[in-house]
Amino acid sequence: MSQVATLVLSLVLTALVALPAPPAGAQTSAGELTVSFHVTLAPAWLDPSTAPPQITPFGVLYAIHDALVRPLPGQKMGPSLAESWTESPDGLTYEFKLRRGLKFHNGDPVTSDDVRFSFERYQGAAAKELKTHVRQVDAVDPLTVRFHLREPWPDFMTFYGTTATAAGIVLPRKYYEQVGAEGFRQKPVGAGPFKFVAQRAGVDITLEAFPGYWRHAPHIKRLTLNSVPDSTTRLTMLKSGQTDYALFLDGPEAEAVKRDSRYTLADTRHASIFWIEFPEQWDPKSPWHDKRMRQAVNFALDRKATNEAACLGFCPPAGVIVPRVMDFALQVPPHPYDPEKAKQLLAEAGYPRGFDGGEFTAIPGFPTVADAALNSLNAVGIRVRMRPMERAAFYAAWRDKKLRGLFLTAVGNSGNAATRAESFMYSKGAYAHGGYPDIDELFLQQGRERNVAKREALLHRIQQLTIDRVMYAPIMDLRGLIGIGPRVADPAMNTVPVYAFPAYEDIKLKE
Amino acid sequence: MMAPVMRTLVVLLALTLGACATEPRLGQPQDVVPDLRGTWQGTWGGAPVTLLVLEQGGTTRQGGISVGPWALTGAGLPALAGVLTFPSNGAPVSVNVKGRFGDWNGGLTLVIDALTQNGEQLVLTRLAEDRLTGTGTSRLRWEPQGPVELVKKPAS
Repeated sequence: MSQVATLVLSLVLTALVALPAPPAGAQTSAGELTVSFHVTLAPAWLDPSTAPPQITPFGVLYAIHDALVRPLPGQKMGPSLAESWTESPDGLTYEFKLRRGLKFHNGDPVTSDDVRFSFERYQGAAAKELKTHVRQVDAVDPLTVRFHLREPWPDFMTFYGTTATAAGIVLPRKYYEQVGAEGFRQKPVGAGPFKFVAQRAGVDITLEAFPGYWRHAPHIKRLTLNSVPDSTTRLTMLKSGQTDYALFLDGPEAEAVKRDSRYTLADTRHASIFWIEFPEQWDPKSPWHDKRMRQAVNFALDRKATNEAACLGFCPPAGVIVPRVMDFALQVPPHPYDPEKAKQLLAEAGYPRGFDGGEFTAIPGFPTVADAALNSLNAVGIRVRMRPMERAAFYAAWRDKKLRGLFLTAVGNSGNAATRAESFMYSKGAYAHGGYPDIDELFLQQGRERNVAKREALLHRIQQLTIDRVMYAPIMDLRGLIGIGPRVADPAMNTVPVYAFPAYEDIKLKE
Repeated sequence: MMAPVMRTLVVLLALTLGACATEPRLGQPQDVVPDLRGTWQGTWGGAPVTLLVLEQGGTTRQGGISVGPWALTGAGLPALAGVLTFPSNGAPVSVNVKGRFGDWNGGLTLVIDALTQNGEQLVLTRLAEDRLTGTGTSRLRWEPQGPVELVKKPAS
């Protein structure tokens, strides 16, 4: 190529790069994409009204629905359906302004009345806490909604505008009332980037790009979310081109992706922790009432080996159940691994020859972590048997306090130390099995405290008490290992802070 | 005048070399390695950072030739392991890190590498029992770059 030709080509390329981007909504959507989940997708996750304090349902919810305020690319808490919000100087009123011209997938306008309706019917994580603090919601005009609090609550936006809860997701009131809760779960309508097409319960959900999505029309025309609980099968599907995203791969399969240059392995950056719960610790008749038994579990867990086997070394060990990336988290080291100490504690507690711990229920989707925990416990004489369960059933059993003995859980929704304390440490929290009056008092006190340093001290004290009383056995942070196929040009992973799934509307396929 | 093919090769070589991180080659430490276990807080390129040193002891291989898990050559340097928390893309992230102590430019240096895909690295050239200073880099432009200063948090 002559130098003149090279120069001309360079100028043309430069001019193309410098051209302004097309206006939002002007682009067309094309192509199909499949995302394979590590759990069975429950129809309940199509309706945010009962969302648990977990991140996984948001992997479905944010495909179809949108919230007033939510994590967005580059923003932990960004204006989404609301273009702006303000807090009154006395901290008692929050006013949200909706964007103009927003529509649900069925063509109905998104209004302040829908916002009020969605909040009032919300019964999911922290619903009690939200409704205790919020006195009234006013639809001032079709585009303005005002939340009145009973007293200043510094965490209102953390609860309402992040994945700490799904209370900020806006549902179409007219349609919801027309079809009812069950009808809505069968055929949901939202204001998110993709509209619902069809579902086969527990198998897959088919979605189609919503051209009117306020950020921009999705680049992908058709999106399929499917349930593939077995990690090996997800890897096989990724390698055979049957899926483009193999979510939350187990260690060995993630290693296979890492070794193959045709695929990309992404590690999620959401705020998530694995831990073992002792639901019977407040029952004086239970062996788990004895603090030494709970200490034994903590010393029995080989966090380093679990991280290496399940997580390729990506998952930092944890010393408290609040992820250290959260505001007001206590920065503490994990328990050391000391199986001899664990056996000694068991003996001191009256079990020198070990103990039959019954069933061990592990949150589905993380078999290597579950096996590692089970093996660690059995190795020191805490004999437990794995109890298999589907993810939605696990959430329900946890919420309904039907899990006994020991169980392994993981929680990855965002928020801060107060939102985690609300769900799991405060005795009235929906997922707490008991509690302590002093922790409850500290929790209520921090909720009223507007001085940040004083709040931090109160929340640190709560976390330290959970450690001193051995309320949990924290294991490690959860970094989801995501296998991404060769058709994907821009995977849109980790662009949304503290979130575990891609920003679906931003995913681009190769030409 | 340089032929176009040669020019392309030179440009590619320059880009390749430019993209490589400068990897400090550490010699065996001449000074006593301080005990750094505990929590360190401070800044990295002006952003808040926390380093939790969980383990210190043992050695780690630097460079050399390996066959599978077996290192055939390479220096064994004193090691540490811990967790680093820093902001990335608007929110904090915690990652496992491994560190190695050694001599570099005539002084005791600690090189800390994050176990991630993004190549975060701290090179701490002034090590005291209550203060660490140096510089840090990441391959991601939205992660901190520049001076690092950490102060030991007193045990509570």
